Amino acid sequence: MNKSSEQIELRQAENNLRASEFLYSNLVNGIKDYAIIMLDPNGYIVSWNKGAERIKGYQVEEIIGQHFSKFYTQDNLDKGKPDTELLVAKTEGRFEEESWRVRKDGSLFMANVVIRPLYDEEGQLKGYSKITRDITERKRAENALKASELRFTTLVDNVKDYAIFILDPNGYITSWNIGAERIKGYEAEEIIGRHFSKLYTQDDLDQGKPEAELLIAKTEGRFEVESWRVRKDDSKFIANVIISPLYDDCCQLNGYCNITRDITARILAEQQLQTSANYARSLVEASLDPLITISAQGNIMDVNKAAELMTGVKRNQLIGSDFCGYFTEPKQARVAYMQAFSQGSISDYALIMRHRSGKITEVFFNANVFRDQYGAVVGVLALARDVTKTKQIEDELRQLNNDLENFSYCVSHDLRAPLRAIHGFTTILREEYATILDEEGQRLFKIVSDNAKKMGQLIDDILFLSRANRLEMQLNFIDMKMLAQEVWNELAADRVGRTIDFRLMDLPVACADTTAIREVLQNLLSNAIKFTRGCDSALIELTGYKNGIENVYSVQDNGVGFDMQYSNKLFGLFQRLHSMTEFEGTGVGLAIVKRFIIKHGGRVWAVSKPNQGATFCFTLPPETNCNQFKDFDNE
Amino acid sequence: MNNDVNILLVEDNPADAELTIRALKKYNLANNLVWVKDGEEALDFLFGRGEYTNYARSHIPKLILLDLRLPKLDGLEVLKAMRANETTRMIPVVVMTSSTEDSDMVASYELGVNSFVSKPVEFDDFAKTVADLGFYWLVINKVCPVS
Repeated sequence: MNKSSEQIELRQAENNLRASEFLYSNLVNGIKDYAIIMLDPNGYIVSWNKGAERIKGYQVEEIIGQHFSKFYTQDNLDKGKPDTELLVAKTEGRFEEESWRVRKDGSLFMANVVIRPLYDEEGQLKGYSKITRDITERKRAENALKASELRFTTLVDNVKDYAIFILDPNGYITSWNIGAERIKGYEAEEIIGRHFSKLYTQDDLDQGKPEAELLIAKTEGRFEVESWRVRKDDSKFIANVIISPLYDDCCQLNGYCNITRDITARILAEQQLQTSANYARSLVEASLDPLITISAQGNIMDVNKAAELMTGVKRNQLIGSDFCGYFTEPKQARVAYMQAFSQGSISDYALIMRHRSGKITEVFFNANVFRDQYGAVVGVLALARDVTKTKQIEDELRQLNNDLENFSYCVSHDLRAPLRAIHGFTTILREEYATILDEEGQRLFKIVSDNAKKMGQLIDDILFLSRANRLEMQLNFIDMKMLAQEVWNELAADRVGRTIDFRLMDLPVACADTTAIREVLQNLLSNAIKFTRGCDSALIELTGYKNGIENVYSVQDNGVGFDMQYSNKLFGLFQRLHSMTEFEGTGVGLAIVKRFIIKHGGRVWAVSKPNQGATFCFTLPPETNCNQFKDFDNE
Repeated sequence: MNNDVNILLVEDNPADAELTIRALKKYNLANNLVWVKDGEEALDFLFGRGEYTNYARSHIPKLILLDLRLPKLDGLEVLKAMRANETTRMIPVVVMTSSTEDSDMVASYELGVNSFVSKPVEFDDFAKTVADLGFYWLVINKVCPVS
C-alpha cells in the first residue's frame, strides 16, 4: 500500500469515525426516557442529552460545566454520596442505585442511576457516564402492589370462619390461616409441609378422594363438595370445601387454594328440620282419618293418603281443587269450613263425603285454623272421622236398648203374673181349706207364698236397676245435707223401735241427678240402719269434703261391718255378705248405688272390719261441672 | 135383679181373672161380670159385633177392668177405640196391669183412662185393691148420665 493510499484510507477511516461519532451522539442526544450524562473525572457535567433535559428539567446550556452533585438531596450531599458513588464506580467499574434525586424545580423523583467510569485508549480515566431513569411511577406501582399483597395476606390470615390454605401442585400444604387453625385444630407450624389428605376420613382416603378432587379442580377449574372432614383430635365435622387451582404468570399450575367452612351446625339444623318435617308428615300420613288443609278460598292445600282413599282422587288432583266438591252437600261443607275460619274451629260437624265411585261415607269434621309465625291465619286443618262404624254401633246399641226395654217390660208383666197366681192360690188354699190342713201343711204353704213374695221383690229390684241404667240424668245443684235429712226422715219406718245417733255434717253441694242421688243415699242409709241393728248404741255419721278434683261423701256406721276380703263383691249384683236369716235383702241396693255413681263419673268404695262398722264412700264431680253445663246450655 | 152388666173384665190370664173374680165375689161385686180374654173380644162386646151381635144384655158396663198386654189388640188399642166411639167413650176404665212402666202409665192417661192400678203380687194386697176398686166405681162413683 502506498502512502497516499494510506492517507486516503486514514482519512476515510477518520471520516467514518466522525460519521459514527456523530451518529452515536445524535442517538444519545435523542433518547428521551434515559438521562445520559457524561462527567469529567471530577464530576463536572460535559454532556447532556434530551432525556436528561426532560427528566431533570435543565437545558443543556445551563448545566454543562456544573457539578453533578446538583441532583442530590441535601441528605445525600451531607453523607458525601456524590463523591462516594464516583469512587465506587471507579474502583468497582460500576455503581447502581435506586434513590431520590432532585429536579431543577426542586421536586424529587425516584431514580435508577448507573454510573460507569470512562477510560481512553491509554487507560487514563477520562470521566464517567451516568444513566438515570425516572422510576417514580414504577416504584409507586410496585409499592401499591406490595401493600395490596400485604393487605390480602393479612386478610386471609385473619379470616376465622373459613379455613383458607394453599396446596402445592402435589397437595402439600404451603400456607395455613387462623380459620384453618380454628376449624381443623392444627397450628400452621405443624401442618405446613404435610399432605392435605391428612384432613380426610379413612373412607374418603380409601376411595382416593384427595387426588380425585384435585384432579377435578384442575380439569374443571373448580371443585366443591359438602363432606365429612377430620380434625386434629380425630373428631369429624361436615365441611363445605372449595378447591381452586392456582396458576402463575406463565399459566403453569402453581398449586391449589382450598377454602373450607365448618357447616356441621347448619347441616344438623337442616337435618333436624327435615327429620321433624318428616316426622310431622308421617304423623299426617299415618292418620287413618282423612286430613285436609283448606285455604281461605276453600281450595284444598294438602291432603294425606286417607283423604285420597276416601275420595278416590289422587293427591295432585285434590290439591288446588274445591274442598266442597267432595261432599254430597257442598253448601253444608262450605258452611263448615267458613265456620272454622270465622270461629277458629269446629267440632263433630256431620257431613257426607262422596267417593269418585259414588260411595258415600258419613264423617264428623273437626277443624282448626292454623297460623303462620306472625299469627296470621293461613288455612284450616280439617280432620274427617269416618263415623259409619260408630253410627252402626249406635244403631245396634239403640236396638239393644229397645230389646232390653221390651225384655224388662216382659219381665215385669209376665213373670209377676204367675207369682201372683202362686201366692194368690196358696193363700186361698190356706184360707178355704184351713180345716183340712194340719199345722205342717199350713207351714209348707206359707213357705211357698213367702218365696213367691221374695221373688216378687227380686223382680222389682231388677226392674229398678234396669231403669237406673236407662235414667236420663238431669244435673242440678243439690243441697246434699238437706236431701240426706229428707231421706233419713223417709226411713222412719225402718227405725221403729230403734235409737240411733245420726250425725249429719255439713256436706258440699253436689251437681247431680236428684232422683239418682236420693236413691244412693236411701240405700246407703237404710243399709247403715239395717247393719247397726243389735248395736247397743248405734251411730251413723254422714260427712263430706271437697278436694278440688271431686266431692267425697262418706256414710259411716258402727254396725256389723264386713270382711274386706270380700269387698270386691260388695257392689256386685245379687252379692250378699250376710245370710238371709241375719239380714234380709236382695243384693241389689249397692249395685244400684254403684250404677248411679258411675253414671255421674264418680267412684264408690267401702272400708270395714267385721264387727267394727263400715264406711261407704262415693265421689261426685265438683259442682263447677254444673256451671259448665249451664254455660253450655246458654251458648 | 138388675140384669145389666156391671163389670167388663178384659184379661187373658185365667189365673189373674179368677183371682180378680174371687176378690170381687167376696164383697158381692161380681154378680154381673163378663170376662173377655182378648182385645178384639172386648171391642166385639162393647160394639155388639161378632159373637155379641145378638147379645141380649146391655153393652155398656158400669166399669171396665182392662189389662194392657192382651192377644190380638192390646189394652191401649182397646182404650183408644172405645174412647173414639160415641156410645162407649164415657165408660169408666181402670187399667190393671203388672207393668209399672212409666210409658204405659203416660199412654193410658193420654187416652183418658180413669184409673191406673198396678197388680200387687201378694194376694192380700191384690184382693184388697180389687175390692176397693169395685166398691168405689160401682157403689160410690156416679156414672155419667150421658152414655
